[in-house]
Amino acid sequence: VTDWKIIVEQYGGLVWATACRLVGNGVDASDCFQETFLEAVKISRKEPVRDWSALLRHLATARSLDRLRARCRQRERTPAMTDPDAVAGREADPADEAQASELAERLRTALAELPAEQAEIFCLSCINGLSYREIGERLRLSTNAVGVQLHRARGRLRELLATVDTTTNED
Amino acid sequence: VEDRQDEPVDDLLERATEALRRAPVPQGPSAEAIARVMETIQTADVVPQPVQERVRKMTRIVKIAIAATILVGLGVLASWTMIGGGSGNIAFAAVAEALDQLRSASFDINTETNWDAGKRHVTTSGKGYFLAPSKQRTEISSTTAKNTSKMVMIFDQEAGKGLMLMSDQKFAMAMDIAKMKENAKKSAKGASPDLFETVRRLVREGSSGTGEKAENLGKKEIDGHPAVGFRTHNAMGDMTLWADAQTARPIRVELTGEMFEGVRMVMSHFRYNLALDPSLFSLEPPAGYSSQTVNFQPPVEADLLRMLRMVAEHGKGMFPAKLAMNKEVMDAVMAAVQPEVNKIAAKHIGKANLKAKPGEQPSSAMMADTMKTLMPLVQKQMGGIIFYMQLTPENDAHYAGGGVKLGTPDRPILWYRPSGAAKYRVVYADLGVKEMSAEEVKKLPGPR
Repeated sequence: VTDWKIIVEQYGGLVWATACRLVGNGVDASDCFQETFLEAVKISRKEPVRDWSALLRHLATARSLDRLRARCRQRERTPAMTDPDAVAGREADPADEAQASELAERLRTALAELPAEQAEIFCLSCINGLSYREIGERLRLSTNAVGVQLHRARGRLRELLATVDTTTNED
Repeated sequence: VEDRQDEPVDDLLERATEALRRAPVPQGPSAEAIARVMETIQTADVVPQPVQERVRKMTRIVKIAIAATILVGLGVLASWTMIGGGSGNIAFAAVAEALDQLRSASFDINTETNWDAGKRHVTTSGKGYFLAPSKQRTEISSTTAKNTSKMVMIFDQEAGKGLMLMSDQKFAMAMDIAKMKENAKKSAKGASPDLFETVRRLVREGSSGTGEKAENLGKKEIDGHPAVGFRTHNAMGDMTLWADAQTARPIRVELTGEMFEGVRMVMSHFRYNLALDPSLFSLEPPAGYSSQTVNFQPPVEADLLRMLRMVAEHGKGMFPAKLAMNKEVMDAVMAAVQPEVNKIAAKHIGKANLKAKPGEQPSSAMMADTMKTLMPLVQKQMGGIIFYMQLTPENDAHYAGGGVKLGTPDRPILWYRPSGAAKYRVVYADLGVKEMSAEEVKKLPGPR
């Protein structure tokens, strides 16, 4: 029998951090946190879980990307609002911090435009540092397929970031 | 092989990735969030549903919504009335009881439809009103990249009538849905064109144990109220309902699509037992409106065969991977009705067709002409997918046509058992139909 108290205690921080980085605010991260563990319950009832860390990281990433996509669609039709629960900034140079924050938000927006699998592979590899093999095992893909998808994801992200950059410059 | 080395250095992407990787993480998760997760885990009643038990049903209003979608570019808001599911727990029963006791309600509706990876994006927002026992009014504002349209839909279930009003064109479509109503009664899970009534029905079914299993999502604060959440799932999609923990009345309902791919609807800001003006639910077209009456007929198997041929021919001779109210089907319908649309457009506005002038509203006369000509055609083309989606678990329907070429001999692509019949109807890739016993059907190839 799975001891969920231990699982949540042990991996709660990991799930929280994964979600926070991707969604960028505490409210959405809190929802992702709950949805991640709920989905983990479902999966654990169907099959034994060998690597909780990889599973939870994968689920947290997938749910966070869902949120990002929904938020971007919402943003398209409603004016931007200041999020009172946005993640607090670090103590750093305000200009650098603002630039980093803006870059991170632009990448979040671009990730929401990517096909779901590509976005997830990019996040697992480039944000969470998982190896191709670990990603492939989790997503049931060959390492080559992971590499190809990652390559495509990077290509598309470059295009999207460049588009935003051009638009910004024009503005 | 890790191939990151062979990627060209891209400063902007690398910098953005680094910024995201180093994004500050606030303290957390909070003790409350952890407690909520633990409670959810302990109370979760998650049971995977076999595909054969999933409900395939469709509501009569889909036809209206599809017609509206095709004619004036609106979303499939109303089509969402068929979402099904439920649970067998006590808390959900309390929600059912609270809903059954209501005299009236109003709520906000927001819907978004995304097809082609977001290239075709339609959003709708509006207000819904419910007056017991069976009256519903929905006011919709739909926005695409090119256009905004407004529409009002009124239904009286008991009267078997509906009215669609397009204020921009001063056009009213009176709908006789009596035959569809009779058809819906034949099914235990008869679909309703009324959104609020559908939510009530789903909760009622779930709480009485006749619906499918639902997940308990635990507790959460919604709009400042402690709420209890449930999620139901079937072949049509998911419904997430958050009910007030004290009164058991819904606070927020979210519907997402499976057979209606790329569609998401949120009902929120509910107000209950308001004194609503009965004139809001009048089925008489307002003064100054031109009107057209449309009779809706239940679809039959011949419609299904026609639809399968239409979609396969539109898909370069191949049957679609999935039979659903999705882009493939809608594109095929659009292509089928386009010649008629062009004729009407040519008659009223010259060579340009209806889609050629974004922002331009068709005239009242053009709307009436369009409705008169296109409604029977649209119903004919859409009947097949509606027929398929109306099939219930009792009909044990299976689609196995994905990747099969139209005309392939001896290749079954779809089978179902008509209500009350002993034998199955098996549709082949050449669109011939044979009857088979349950034993014979078990030997058919393809997914179940």
